[in-house]
Amino acid sequence: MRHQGYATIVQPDAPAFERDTCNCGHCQKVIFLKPGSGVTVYLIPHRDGRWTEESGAFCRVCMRPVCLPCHDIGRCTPFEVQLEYAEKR
Amino acid sequence: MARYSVDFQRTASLTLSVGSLVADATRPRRGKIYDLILGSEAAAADNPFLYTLQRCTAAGTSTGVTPQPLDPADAATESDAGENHTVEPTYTAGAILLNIPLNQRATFRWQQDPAYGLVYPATAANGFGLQTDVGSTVIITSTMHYEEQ
Repeated sequence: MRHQGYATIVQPDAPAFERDTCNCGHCQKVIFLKPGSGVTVYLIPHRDGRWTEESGAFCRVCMRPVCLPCHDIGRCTPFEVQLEYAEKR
Repeated sequence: MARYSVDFQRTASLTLSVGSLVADATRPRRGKIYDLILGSEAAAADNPFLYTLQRCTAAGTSTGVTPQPLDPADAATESDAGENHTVEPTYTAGAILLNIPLNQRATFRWQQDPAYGLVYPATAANGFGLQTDVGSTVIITSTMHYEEQ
């Protein structure tokens, strides 16, 4: 998938943590993905080092994965539109 | 489209920001961040940090940093970078593009195809700021690669 990135965490007392990422199609937030899930399961990092799983979200207007806060908004505003708006100000 | 590297270091700063990268005030151009490295070079200790990459609409007051072109044949960047802020950038509420909690001993790297990086608009002083949620005198270092359009 063309929007995917890659995140790596290295620390002395744990094996390397490597996960695919994708960007929210609306706000561009970096989303961590569960391995093997495509973009259907997101990984949410917590301060105590835990990672929890959440069902992913997909916008069927712009046909891109979106982050959960943008999904809650329930409206499609692709980031390209937001950029053009910012540049017109 | 030229690509640049910029290195931020928060030393004894009392603000939360590690660094900021924004479009120039007079000749703003779009940019895309596609590689980000975070970590601390301080003596090993168990401090938790929540690193946040957030959009901003003003760069605040900081020590200027000169981004370096990855290809020496490219011209100097038009974007403005700064570190060791004395006045925080004006962050856009809720516009957080990356939140990653890390132990001080950990190093984080995120990479993306440069064509699909995190975009800041060609609007004066709009860009990204990198911060932690607590101020500290622990040295935090970050390297950002971006493509300017």
